[in-house]
Amino acid sequence: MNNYKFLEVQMNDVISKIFLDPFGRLVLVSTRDKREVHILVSSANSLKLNKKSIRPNPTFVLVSVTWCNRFLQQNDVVALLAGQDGSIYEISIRPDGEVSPCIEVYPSFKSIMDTNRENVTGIYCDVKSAYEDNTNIFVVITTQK
Amino acid sequence: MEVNFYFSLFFFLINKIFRFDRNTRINHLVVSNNVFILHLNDKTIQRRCLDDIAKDSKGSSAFQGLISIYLQ
Repeated sequence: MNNYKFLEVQMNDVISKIFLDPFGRLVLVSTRDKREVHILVSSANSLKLNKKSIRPNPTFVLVSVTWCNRFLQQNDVVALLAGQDGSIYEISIRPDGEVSPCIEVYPSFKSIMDTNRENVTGIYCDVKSAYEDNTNIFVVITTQK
Repeated sequence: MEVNFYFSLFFFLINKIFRFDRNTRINHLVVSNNVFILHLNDKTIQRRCLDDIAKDSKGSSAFQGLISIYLQ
């Protein structure tokens, strides 16, 4: 067996989903029972759990994450968090794992998706930047039905 | 069916290359930038890197090559 000690973190709840940013530095972990979202900061010699969980609203259940950083020139990581009810929150995560308050974005999606509430399975985001002052963001939501 | 086959093959290779304990269950794996984040058993998150294998003399460089090709 391996003698090499791998970096490991034990969560206090059963893990539901994990998401890794494109640089391999930040991990978002959602849990099954408490329905919390945690951030882990990953580096070559540490894997650190940020104890404070992200909770955009009391009923939020994370289904999908889109990392938006490749479109932005900044150190903070920006991600879109999609909930099962169709809510989408934007969070900004500092390299040390600290998070700025979540902002709900694209609230109009929720009214469009009234018939598919609680059935969101994924969210995908892309940006079409034709000109510097004219950027279009595309958000696609998939549902179970 | 074909996707499932390649998925199973990938996990087989991951198991071979990283040499997990027999009781360890791999639930999920995400990869970015040569970093492997694994969800093991129920509550464990583990970070591995292909570079780690070089530190482990028992690791297989052939499998490491295959994984590198797969990820490209």
